[in-house]
Amino acid sequence: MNAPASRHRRIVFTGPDDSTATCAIATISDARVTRDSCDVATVDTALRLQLDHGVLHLQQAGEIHLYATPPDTPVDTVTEFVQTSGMGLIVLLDNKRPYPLRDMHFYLHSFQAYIAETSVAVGLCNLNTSDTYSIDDYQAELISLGLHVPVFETDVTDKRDVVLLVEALLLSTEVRKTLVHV
Amino acid sequence: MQSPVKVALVGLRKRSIQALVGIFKQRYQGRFVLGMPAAAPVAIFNMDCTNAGQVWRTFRRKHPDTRIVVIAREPPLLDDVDYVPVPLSVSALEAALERAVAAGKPAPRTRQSVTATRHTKTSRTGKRPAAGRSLATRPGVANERPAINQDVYFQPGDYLFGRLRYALSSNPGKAVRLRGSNFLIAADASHCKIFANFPLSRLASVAASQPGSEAGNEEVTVLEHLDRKAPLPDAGDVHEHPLDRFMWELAAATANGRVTEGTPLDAPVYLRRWPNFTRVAPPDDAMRIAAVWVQQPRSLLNLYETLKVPIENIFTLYTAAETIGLAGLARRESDTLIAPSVVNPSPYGNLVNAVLSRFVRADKADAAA
Repeated sequence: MNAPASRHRRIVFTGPDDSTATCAIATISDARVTRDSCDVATVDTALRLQLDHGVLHLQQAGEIHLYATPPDTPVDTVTEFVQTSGMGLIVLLDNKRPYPLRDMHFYLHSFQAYIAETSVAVGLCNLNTSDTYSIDDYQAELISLGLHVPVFETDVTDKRDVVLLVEALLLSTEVRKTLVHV
Repeated sequence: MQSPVKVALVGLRKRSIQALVGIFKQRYQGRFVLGMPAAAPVAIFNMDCTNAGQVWRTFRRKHPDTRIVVIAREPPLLDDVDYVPVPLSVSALEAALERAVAAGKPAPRTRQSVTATRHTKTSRTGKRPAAGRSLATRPGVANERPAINQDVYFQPGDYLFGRLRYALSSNPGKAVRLRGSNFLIAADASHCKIFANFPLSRLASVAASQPGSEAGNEEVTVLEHLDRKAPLPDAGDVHEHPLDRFMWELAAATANGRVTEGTPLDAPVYLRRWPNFTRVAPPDDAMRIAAVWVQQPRSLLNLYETLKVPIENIFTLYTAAETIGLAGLARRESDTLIAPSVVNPSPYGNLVNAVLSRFVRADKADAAA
């Protein structure tokens, strides 16, 4: 597991709601979010992905590219796109949807290989406006899968919320790559 | 590639078995897999289990040819068995399993009391065997334990924090109202709400009331029912807060780099899950501490040695997390079965710091604006 080169560092935002992931990267991006076409070569075919793209400039440390996946994007091509360059996945869930835990399982399963190499953080939207599930419910599901990852209540229009998610994700990914049993 | 070796796990609880199976998969890359005792040529035997002697005799009688690696906190009184001390060093366990596979001979049968342990210098206070050593005792890593004196502890009862906590815990299901010279609070645990006549921005000054001046002078009223429309009679502005958030911030402000009296610094403590850091204020370094701590229970001193962050920040985070039930003393067998992991150099260099410092700067600029 090598560290991705600076110009290829990527964080993927995903979730069942079309606009939520894009809104999240627009909240913290240093540049205007654009819909980019990205060519992905898989084993037997070449595909063109449409992803919303933002960027974080980090002065001497380069930059981190932020990608939001529209819900109909084929996950395997996204995984291919970020496989050697990803720094983690942010799943944005809507607690008001009928089956948010099922949504979470769908994305965890879809991005399983990518998460295994990096890490995942979960942002919960509309947590305080819905009594469906609490953070503990989501955490219990994640821990049962062996994932001790950040789950934060998130307003994707609030820069502080999105920044904290990104920070927690990066620290989780770093720990995944640096913490070893002796 | 060598075929996987089946290993039976004897005398271990379900969570410990899950932890070891995880190690088999991730660290040993499938070299060892969990197997039923009848089909496994090698077994890991937990000599610290309940009725260890009886379990041992039964196992030996049924599976006399199985090679055994004994794990226990103290060396067992058995000759010629491979022993790995608990907390387990993953590499020491792997080496012992490989030796057991290579030996290919029956383990000795003994009539000695297997539950008795040798009188060695290994103890809670003595030096552990090399296999279980922590980061601080690795070659080339200086032991930089901080000087700990009584200043790191505080008595909760000397502060509003402890008195409010006591009032809530001793009146389960009821609301309590506390009135002091500079505050009025009504806490309703059943609805997870707290009402105060001051905003959270003033909490630090209320929390820091000096022992002897404010503490002990509060008037505590237990309420059968809290009128949520008028929770604080006579108060001007009423600020409503989620109870967890208020208690977190009150605990952090009161702790201010300390832990409550009696908190063990050298015993493993757990962090059940990441705190909801978008809704409770993370103390300094809290995210970095949580990222490591949540993976495995560790002592507060081990966290300090592993992360090299100011120990005061670890103490503040622990006190806040313990207050809302996210942290506590690790008591389960599985919590302390595996030795704490260590941190290797980051493959990202200073990238994570660059992101963190960039946003910290932005936060400060926002605050200034």
